[in-house]
Amino acid sequence: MTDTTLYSALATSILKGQLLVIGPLAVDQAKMVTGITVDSSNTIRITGNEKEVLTNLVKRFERLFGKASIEVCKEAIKESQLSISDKDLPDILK
Amino acid sequence: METIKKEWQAKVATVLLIVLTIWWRVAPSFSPTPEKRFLGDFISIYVIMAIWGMLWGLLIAQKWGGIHSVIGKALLFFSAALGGQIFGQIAYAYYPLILHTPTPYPTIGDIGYFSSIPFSILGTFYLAKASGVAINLRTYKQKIQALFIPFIMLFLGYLLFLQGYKFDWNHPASIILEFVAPLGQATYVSFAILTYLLSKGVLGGIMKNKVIFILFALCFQFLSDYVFLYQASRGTWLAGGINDYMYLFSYFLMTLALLQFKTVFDRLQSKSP
Repeated sequence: MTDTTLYSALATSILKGQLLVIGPLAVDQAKMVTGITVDSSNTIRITGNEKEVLTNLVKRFERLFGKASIEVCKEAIKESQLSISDKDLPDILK
Repeated sequence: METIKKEWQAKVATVLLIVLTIWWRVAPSFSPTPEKRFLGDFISIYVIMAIWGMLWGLLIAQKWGGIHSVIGKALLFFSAALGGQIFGQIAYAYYPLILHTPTPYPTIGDIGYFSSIPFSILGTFYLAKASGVAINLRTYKQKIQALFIPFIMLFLGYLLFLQGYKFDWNHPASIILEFVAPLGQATYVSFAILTYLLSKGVLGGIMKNKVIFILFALCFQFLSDYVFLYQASRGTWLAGGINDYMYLFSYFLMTLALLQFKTVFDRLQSKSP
């Protein structure tokens, strides 16, 4: 899996986790992050600095419920079973 | 408050509260009995606040994903709790206003009042879920707290209203209303207090104050319920009295609490990156 594909898959998992909490507003929030495009099946494609874009996506959701939103993102990644090294994971998700 | 400034629906609710407050306070001077007012009966009219809150609550819940999201479900259940109160109020008013007979007890309206208890519990459960309560429940100390608070509230409820209660198994409906309902009310307020305590340090962001306000509205609803039980158990409850006004105010608070979610939704959608 390339870096772009992996980060896009991680972002998609986060979006799906947030959809379960805040509904379609999650898609609107994701679309507001520079470097993210969301297709009709709610799959995310990241362009640019992937790690930074993923961080910005999590920060976007953090604005809503604070740490509780970050925990939802972490949980979504855990459930996706995508493997990413600790070094490549944004600090906000560690 | 931002919601009252921005939402016309909140302005309508506020005007309604002011008009009904004046009516509640001033009208008895012109009437020989406290419950009979000109333009109708206060206790049958103030349900309009709950109707207003429920309608907008249901619409706002759809914006947040309805049954497909945690927040959508929380808003749906709080709206349904208002719906239960509406059903109870209307059913109770039906007998004196339409049939011109005293309302029997228990009656179908009590199903409405009673249903608002599980709806409030479910609403609080989903609100707690969104607020990250599960994260704080990982520690032993907080698990104890989660058991201790409902236990204390149930014990207080029992001590205040149910000590020495005589079970009449010929009337099971009365047992549910008089014995189970106060314990159910103690349960939903325990969940509200727990949500507040266990979300500390986890819940933040722009939703924090909205969640706290909805919990405050629930606590005020609980206070109204317990004042009703207290006055009814001592024979001091009066139709159109302070307790009815407390219910009006609790419907107003819940209406504002639900409308806040519209304010946040609109703000989040309009903000650029």
